[in-house]
Amino acid sequence: MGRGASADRTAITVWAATAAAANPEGGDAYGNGSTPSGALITEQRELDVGSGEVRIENVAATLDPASVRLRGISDPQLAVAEQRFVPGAATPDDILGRRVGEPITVGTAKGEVVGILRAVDKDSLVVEVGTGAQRQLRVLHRDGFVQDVKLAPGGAPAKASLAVRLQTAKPGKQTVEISYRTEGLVWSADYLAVVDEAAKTFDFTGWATIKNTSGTTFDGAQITLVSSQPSNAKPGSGLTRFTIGKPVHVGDSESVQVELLPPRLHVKSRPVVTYEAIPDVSAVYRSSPSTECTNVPGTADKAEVALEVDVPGDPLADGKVRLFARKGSQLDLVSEDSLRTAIGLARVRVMPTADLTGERKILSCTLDERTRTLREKVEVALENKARQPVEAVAREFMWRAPSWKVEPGDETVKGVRAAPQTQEYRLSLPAGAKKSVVYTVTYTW
Amino acid sequence: MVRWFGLALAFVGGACGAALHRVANDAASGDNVTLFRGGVAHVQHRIAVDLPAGASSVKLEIPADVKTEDLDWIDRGGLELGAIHVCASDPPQLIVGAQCGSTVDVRAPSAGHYILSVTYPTKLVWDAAYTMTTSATHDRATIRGSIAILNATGIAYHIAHLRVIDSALDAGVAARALALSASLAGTNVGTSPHAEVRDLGAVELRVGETRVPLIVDSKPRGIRSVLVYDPIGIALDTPTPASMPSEEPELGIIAPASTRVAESIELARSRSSSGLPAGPVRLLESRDDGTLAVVGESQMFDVATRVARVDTIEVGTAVGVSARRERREFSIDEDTHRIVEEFGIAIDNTRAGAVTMLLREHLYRGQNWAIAYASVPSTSVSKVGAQEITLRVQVPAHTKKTVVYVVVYSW
Repeated sequence: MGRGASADRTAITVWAATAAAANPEGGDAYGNGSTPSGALITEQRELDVGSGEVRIENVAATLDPASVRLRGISDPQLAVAEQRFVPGAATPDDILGRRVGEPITVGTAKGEVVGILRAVDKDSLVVEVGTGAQRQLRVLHRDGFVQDVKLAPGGAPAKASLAVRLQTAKPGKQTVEISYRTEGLVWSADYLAVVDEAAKTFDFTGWATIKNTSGTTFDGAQITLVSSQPSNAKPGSGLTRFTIGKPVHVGDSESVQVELLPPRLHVKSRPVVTYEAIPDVSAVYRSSPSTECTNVPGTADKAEVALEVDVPGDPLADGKVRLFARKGSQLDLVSEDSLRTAIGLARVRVMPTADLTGERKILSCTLDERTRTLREKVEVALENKARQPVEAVAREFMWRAPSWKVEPGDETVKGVRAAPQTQEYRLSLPAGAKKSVVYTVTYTW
Repeated sequence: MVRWFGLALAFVGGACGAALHRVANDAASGDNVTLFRGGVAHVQHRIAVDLPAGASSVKLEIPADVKTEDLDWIDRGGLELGAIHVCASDPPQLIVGAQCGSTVDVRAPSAGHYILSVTYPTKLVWDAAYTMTTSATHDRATIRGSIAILNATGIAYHIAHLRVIDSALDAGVAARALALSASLAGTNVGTSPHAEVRDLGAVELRVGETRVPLIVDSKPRGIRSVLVYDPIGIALDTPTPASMPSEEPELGIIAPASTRVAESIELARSRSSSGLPAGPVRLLESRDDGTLAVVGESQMFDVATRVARVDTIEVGTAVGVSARRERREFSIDEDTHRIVEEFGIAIDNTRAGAVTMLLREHLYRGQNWAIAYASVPSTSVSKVGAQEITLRVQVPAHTKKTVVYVVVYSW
């Protein structure tokens, strides 16, 4: 029985199509685990359960058969005795190949040929015609000679399906829940920021694009999108999830755009200049901390002018943001880049700048192998060479180990944890001014 | 009458079961299209539609090269947007038995007239070309120009504002980012000239080629004769600003510079030529018998001469005048971040009359430079582009004259 049954309820969890973080020092960071990919489909179907095989049609052609789980709703004792995955046929050759041994009518330039399809390849069809002594095989060339092919109704389905034999004490119509993992469903986030002429406020929206190449259509699906960003809910609570409020039709071979967050219109934006003295190499040392004081990353010396907006709650998913400037009825594209996300806020990069420079010094570093701690005292000095005051944000990566802390008394400017291994310091810098922040971070492992 | 071309929008049968509606005729809802060099266009499409209250599903037509994630819904017009369904072409595959059409799910708070606005990048190839017609006396000329836009999107656009920016999309975007960055944080705006926006007005851009006039004013303008010496050309220019100028000592001097001087026609740019896109120009001579003859061909409004006050069109080789370009000094100071280069251009006029020479010099090492010295008056030295200057000099009859200049690159 197909999905046309009335009891259909579909839930889809799709993981973000984000590539694994690159290891800047080469090789894989051992022990980091892998981010899930694809999607988890959970559907309710009504099946007519008897002693024979039950065909569950319109499942994803890209499903992982080992992940299929079938659970009785009407009969909790329902058990699967046997399960087969019948792959779908996506091309004319696939469809014809699946009909070998079945009746076929082939229209040719010399009339119709009716018989049994015996073989097929890209060049020809082999059709058995006649019976008894008159039986013969005809090879029909597909290049020009074959004009039309009619297949008998029914037969092997073109779409992927699951064939199962079920054991139940209550034969007849039953509601079951089927779940499986599949490839062919991915999503990515895209953001839009439209800044007003005075650059004081902007409209900020986020969209998710779900691409479905799974070979099947999902009607009225409850969609959950999982990002590659850890949730803020509590440490270790896993990746951030976005639930789409309304059921969505996700057609086969379709891209579906849905809103990821409520639109934030006319929100106040703040111009900031971010500064990163070193590259973020945290991923490299997540499973094996860097305990050598002499081991320091190279310099990044990267400053960017950005517009910042508060985004309470979980961090936004990684994605591209396009920044437009509104001038009358005209919109002009200003930048297109990855959205910079931090806890509680998002930043839209306008452009890199050389007018904010910085210098990072390690003032001291102490390793205590007995207590498995490393204390590092760091100074970051910034200079504003622009013609006007700026709000500078020094982004410091606590890259040596995932477990770190900066006590309030350990910093000359109050910092904020912006990401699992990032601390940010805000400094108001008048034009031409220099300021610095000194902090001490303690790593444990 | 259906007036909408860009994104044809009509109700389709869907979950709402709404009837087919015609798209509204709304003069205030034309598209804005900005053309960039390289065949990329940015389309801001407005969709006007009359909707019943509640949920509707509407058909959406977009060019095949537009990715779903590139659709930016910039104005919902008071509608609640649901899912947008776009047929995926990535990866390409044969769809068996499936019907594919793109739709937008919307919900209207009440029945009425709504205007949505969406932007996306797409491909619209264009080319500009000019003709200059002069009399046999070569003292006045009439310029005409047009831009030909090839619309192969399969969608006809009704454009309220067609604009052209003669730079690649990236460069155009970078220029706006630079301006916004300067207003937000007082950052340096740089000195490289950016392409101006040229508004071409309202245009009906049907499928196929559309030609739009670029220069409406066709009053004859004064032209004059000039000799141009441009031995290097733009071949060594660096199109994108690099933070470091090239330190290659032999750059620009390995092959001996040509001594050829070009006989040219010079035409001053008017204020109305701001933002005109670069393109070839043919100089036609209108003869007394009414025939036209091509007497020269060149490039006008070139990116390399973006801020020039004149354009020149070569009409042949100058007889009796030659020039020689020679580098006299080259030094690099890594401590002060400076490269100093000195050139001498020796001109030999063997003609019986004085000539006006225009020396085109290309500062190909980088885009951060300054002219530290020139042996001609400063009013005769003009910056004409990000990496080009001209030096104007009068050379009397039967005279040899050498022009010297020093350029300092910094980083």
